[in-house]
Amino acid sequence: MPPPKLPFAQINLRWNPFRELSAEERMQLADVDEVTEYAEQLTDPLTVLQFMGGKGHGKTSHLLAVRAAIPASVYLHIPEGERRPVPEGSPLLIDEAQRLTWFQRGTVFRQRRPLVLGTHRDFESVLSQCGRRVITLNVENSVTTDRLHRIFNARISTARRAEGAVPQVSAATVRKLRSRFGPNIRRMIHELYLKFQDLREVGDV
Amino acid sequence: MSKCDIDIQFDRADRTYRGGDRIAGEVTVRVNNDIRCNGIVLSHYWGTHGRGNTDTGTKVEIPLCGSQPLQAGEEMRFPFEFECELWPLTYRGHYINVDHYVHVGVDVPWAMDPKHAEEFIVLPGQVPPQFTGDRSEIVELKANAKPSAEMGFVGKLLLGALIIFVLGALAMLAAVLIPVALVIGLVYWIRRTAVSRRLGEVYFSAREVIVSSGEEWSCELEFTPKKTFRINEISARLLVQEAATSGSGTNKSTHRHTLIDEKQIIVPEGALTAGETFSRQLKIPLPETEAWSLSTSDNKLEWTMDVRIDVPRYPDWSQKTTLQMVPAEFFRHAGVSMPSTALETVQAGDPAIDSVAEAPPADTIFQFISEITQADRYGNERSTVVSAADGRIFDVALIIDRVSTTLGLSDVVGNEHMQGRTVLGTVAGTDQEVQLFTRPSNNTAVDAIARDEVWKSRAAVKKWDSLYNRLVFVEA
Repeated sequence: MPPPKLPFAQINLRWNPFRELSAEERMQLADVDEVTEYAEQLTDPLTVLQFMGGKGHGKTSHLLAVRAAIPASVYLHIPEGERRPVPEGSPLLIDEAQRLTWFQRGTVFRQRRPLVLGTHRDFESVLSQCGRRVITLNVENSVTTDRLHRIFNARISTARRAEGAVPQVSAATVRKLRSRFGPNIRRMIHELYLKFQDLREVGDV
Repeated sequence: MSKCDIDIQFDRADRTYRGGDRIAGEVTVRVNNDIRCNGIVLSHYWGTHGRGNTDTGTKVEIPLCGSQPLQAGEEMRFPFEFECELWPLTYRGHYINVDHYVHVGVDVPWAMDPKHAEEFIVLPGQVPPQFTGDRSEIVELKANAKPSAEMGFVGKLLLGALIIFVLGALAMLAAVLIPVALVIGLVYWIRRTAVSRRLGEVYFSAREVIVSSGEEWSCELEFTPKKTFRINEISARLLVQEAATSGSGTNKSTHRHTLIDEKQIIVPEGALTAGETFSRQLKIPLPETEAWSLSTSDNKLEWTMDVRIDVPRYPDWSQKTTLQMVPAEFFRHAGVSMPSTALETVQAGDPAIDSVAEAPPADTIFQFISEITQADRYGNERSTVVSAADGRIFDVALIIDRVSTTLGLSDVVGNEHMQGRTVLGTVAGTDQEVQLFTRPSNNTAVDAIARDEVWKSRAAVKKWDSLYNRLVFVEA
């Protein structure tokens, strides 16, 4: 049995670009352009930016994009079934905001600091009652072919091993994935992971 | 442009090492902008990558330089050297990959730190200390997994409160849960009794659960049927699966990929006769593989063997055994040294070896090795024997294991051997490992040698490497 070679060297990459990424890597890859215009509005302490959408549709990616655009921001992810203390800092980014306790919601929503929420539940009316100015974005609407094309090829660039050509995901492939999986980016990434596992030479996917 | 460009070079072009090997190389840092640097640190560690969350081992840090200003255009070179970890080994799978890394980071205050990492490949080498030769129990090989964050006092208090709350809730639910548990228990008991009524007591034993690639796994199966009945088959199913978990909480999902799913029919369809004892030692061949068992928090490679007596229209008897697949090298003990009769173990039929091994005259390499072998390995006797022979020249035939570039990091390498090759191998006809530094003028010839080929040379004794139990020569 031949000894193992450096991973993905045959396609000039260092890892499968569609592997599971850490939060730090996701932040580095965040597609900041889209959130920049909203990020500017977060200078107003009463503004709340609310990202809504189904599982795997990109709520966390949007939050991490804001995190990348505003380095002073603080990010809080609340795992299922757990309670997490709310950190100091502004703006405050809360992933899975529907898991905030009743008390935390009351406190955080009434504070005068800008908020960015990733949530399955719409808090617009509650926030408005607290005097907040709410901008709600359905992340599913932002899953455009162009954006996906940019995100997927950015992942490949980060995995580059050396100078020279690397595989590219073509716009046609992105369109096919979009029509097959709708706005579910996670399923598209899984499909691309499988394709890159079998890739033996550099070329368009 | 990045503030610094970092380049990491290894002493072996193929970056392939065995557990316990010395890994050496050189880091080059080219500065592009004037910066204040708080230090440059090299770290080495293992990590998984693939469909699951990344699991990472403990990072071992080696400071390369301290706090200092760096000026644009400056180029710094730092040689490094460390001992290769024994486990986990490099693995290429479908959902899981394991790699080892050398990472270099330049600490720049109040800015993104320039950093760079390169992989190297780790093959089985020295035996991890957890392996004592006992194969009857699975050995925990967590390989310096990164410790999880310590739970603080508030966390412990919350956890305690949560446990009390859950226990209270369970107590209230007991009225519902107890009947459910009773039903499950009853179903299990009926099934067990039904199997026992036909098969009687089934004795199953597997002496070894730690196995190696290509060998046979054996177990014993014995029972005396209480009734005469038909069976579909008695089989053993080997299942090897990768299980990679990604995400957390509600976003958590486990991806499974089957690497091997082989069923072997031990007894085909037929009848078992009441009172006739079935007793058999089963020998199930295991495939050639490099899919070593792995168990990290989010990435697992599991080997299981399911021995099953399949009875038509009746509950089956089955026994699932978890195996631990490790390299055959792990059954070789670190303390086993070259036998004193090594001179008699010359491989026949290889003219290159035979010519050296035939009727060794006095003062041959064989006599020298024999002297070394007779000295105690664990004191410094071997070093003394070799020091006494410093500079002596022998004709040697080496069976080549590996060739790499000599970077000049060794204390025995002079100018005449710098940029030559470092050859690792065994003296033909013995088990004695050697390290030979060849001259650069021979680079082309040495590079052309394949693994396990024989290379003849005149070599001068330099020293005894007690860490690797090997002789160090330079080409004469």
